[in-house]
Amino acid sequence: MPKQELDGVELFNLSLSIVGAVLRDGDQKVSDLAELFEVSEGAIKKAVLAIANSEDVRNYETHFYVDVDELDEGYVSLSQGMSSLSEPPALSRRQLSSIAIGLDYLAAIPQFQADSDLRELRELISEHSPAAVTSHDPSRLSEQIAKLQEAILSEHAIECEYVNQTGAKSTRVIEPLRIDLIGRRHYLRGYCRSTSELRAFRLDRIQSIEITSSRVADQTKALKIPDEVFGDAGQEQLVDVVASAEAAEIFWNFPVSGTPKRKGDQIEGTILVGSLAALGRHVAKYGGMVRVISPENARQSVRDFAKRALLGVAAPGDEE
Amino acid sequence: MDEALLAEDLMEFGSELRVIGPQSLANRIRLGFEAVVRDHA
Repeated sequence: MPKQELDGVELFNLSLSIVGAVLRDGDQKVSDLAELFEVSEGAIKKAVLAIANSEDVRNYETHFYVDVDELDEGYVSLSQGMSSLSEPPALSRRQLSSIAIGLDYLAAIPQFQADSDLRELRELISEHSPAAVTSHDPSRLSEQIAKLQEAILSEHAIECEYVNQTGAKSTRVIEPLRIDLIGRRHYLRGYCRSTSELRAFRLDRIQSIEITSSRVADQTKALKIPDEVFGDAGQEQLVDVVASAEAAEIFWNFPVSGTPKRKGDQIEGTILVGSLAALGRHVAKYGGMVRVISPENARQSVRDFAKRALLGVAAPGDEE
Repeated sequence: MDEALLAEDLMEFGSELRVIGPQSLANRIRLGFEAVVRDHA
């Protein structure tokens, strides 16, 4: 179902996207834009009217004129107003980082490695990235993705060393199916022969990859990969959490019960957690942007994790 | 990677890791854990 309601940021982003699409391709049908951006026609009209009302606050001149008659008839038609953007819009640190990470991901795909536009954009972004404290070397990730792509395309199983979220290292034989970028992390989705289950493996926890001569089984190829990263929700505990928009990826990193709901600038939802011992690290890393509402033992698990981190005291309870 | 995102990645390790420097990163991590304790008190 197309999205009906948009918050301010989403409306702003949709408006920018519509401007780009119409200026590039000419007048567009409202219905086509709704389909393109997966929102309702009402949302498109609202975003177009937001464009019409935009102006340069320094000069009080509009950026774009919207043909309202055309809009009433179901078409979006824009013409540039008196004001022009002489500088790109200011981006927040997270917006800039997100764009940089997305571009890194694109650059890791062999088809884009020689793309001059992409290279230029990445250089431009890196010039304006604030407060960099590390340099990011995507070469290892690129190599991993290239090797996994080779295995997926040739339909061969891989053997790798994998460190799970508790730090336990094991050798796995995996029939690879797909690579997902979820939040800021890449995951290999595949059938693990070691556990006889469809699993998700974080690429940054895979330490070596060897393509074997063993073929991916037909029944593996027929498996339906669930949207959520972590598998079987059958034995898991329901945990109510509230997260800021910046930490909304928590709802991607766990199976979700029901649909998370936006309340003001927060998102509330229920996740399914297999081990409360591991919940602490997943929640605490957001430094207050994610809060567990209930049950109490889940809250305590998170609190204990953070307390131990502050004291620098490890505890067996840290591990699953 | 900027400092906030690095802090997020490091905080996942909890007590298994201690940041020696830069001080701003260590402070950011400490404040983050303190906020978590406060929110779940």
